[in-house]
Amino acid sequence: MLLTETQAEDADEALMLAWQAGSAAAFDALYARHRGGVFRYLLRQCNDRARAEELHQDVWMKLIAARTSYQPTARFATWLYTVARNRLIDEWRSRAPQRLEALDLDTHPGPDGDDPQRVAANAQRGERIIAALGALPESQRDAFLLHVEAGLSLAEIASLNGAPQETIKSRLRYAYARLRGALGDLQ
Amino acid sequence: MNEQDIERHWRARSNEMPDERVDAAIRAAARRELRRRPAWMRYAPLAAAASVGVIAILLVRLSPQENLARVAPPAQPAAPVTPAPVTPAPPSTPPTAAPAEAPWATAAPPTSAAPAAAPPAAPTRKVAPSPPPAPLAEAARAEAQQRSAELRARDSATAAMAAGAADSDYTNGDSVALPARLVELITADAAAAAEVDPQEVEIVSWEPVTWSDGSLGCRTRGEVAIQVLTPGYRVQVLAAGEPLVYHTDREGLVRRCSTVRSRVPR
Repeated sequence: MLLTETQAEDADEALMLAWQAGSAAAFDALYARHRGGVFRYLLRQCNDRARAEELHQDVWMKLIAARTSYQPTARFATWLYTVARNRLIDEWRSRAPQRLEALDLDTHPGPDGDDPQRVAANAQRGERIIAALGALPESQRDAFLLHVEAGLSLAEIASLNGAPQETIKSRLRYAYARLRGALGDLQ
Repeated sequence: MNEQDIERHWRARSNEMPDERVDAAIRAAARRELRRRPAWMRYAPLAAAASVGVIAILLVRLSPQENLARVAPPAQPAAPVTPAPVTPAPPSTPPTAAPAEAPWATAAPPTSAAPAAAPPAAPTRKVAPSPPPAPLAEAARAEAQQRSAELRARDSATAAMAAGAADSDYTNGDSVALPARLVELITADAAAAAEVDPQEVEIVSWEPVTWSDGSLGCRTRGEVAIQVLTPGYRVQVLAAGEPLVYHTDREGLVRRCSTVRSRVPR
């Protein structure tokens, strides 16, 4: 279904309310706007495309099921990524409890379990930043993805994590520093 | 390399998208959700039908009925019953009227012939005089009889109508007309209540009254009445010497608001 220009420019919250009122086109616009970000957020966290697609579908099904109860009390993106993060936590709780604990630690190594710079150096040139991110601690990677893929502000990430804003700011600073180190020779 | 450079590198490389089948499944689920009726809507027809039923029952109960004269139960507790000797009726004599002791007994609407015009030859139960009533009742009865005599003397036309000219209205001394339909209904009910022939029922007096609600001033315990000013009449009747009071509206709703003493020995 083609989107009207107005729908393409509408805020997420307006689109969600329009879909709530019965507009399928509004959902299409909303989905087109966020499908990539949500999917990549999940993909980078679980490093398994099939699993990421499954989680991605779960997240959107939860959103669909919550259609009638949705209230625009916060930014739609914050709500969407809260749903995605909670789904991810459920996944880790059932499959990898140690990653769940690492989500709040700033020193725990990532799933690649190595130094981002070394991992990045071993990776192909194009894959270097992806590999470097995978080597980041869970908490820093989570903050980076929420900031870059979801476009959330520091305050929104802090609210979503239930952590102080300064903590999130610190995690992001470390994440950028490590990625910078891993990509130092790329300009 | 600053943060913007890192984000630029990131966006240039991180551009995966979910499979199109996943997209299609999610969009299809969204459309199904739009078609799905909310849970409360599944019960909406049932709830609507129940609401209509309740409203209909309330309307029927609260609205005055035009074609049925409903007779009210005694407004006050019945006085101690004094056994009245009844002369034995001939063995073949059937009772002329059904007992009207049940509350809200419905008086049958009169036929085209006025009750008072019934054949006088019809056998009726002869009622012997009651034993001496209490002084207050005696006084009320005497007053009613006196007023009856005055009215009879003053307006012979009224008496003629009471005797059977049911196609025209009664008129009292103040030139207030009592609709003929009300006369029919009151006469029929009083005759049934007192178990006497309609000819022995005499309308003594009436006056126009505006009742404060649909109960016509005869509300019984637990009764719900529509709150609307209802114009009508207060009518005093003598049925074989028994004083009765009726409250009516102007359409045909008639309520007996006084006690009929039982004439059956217990």
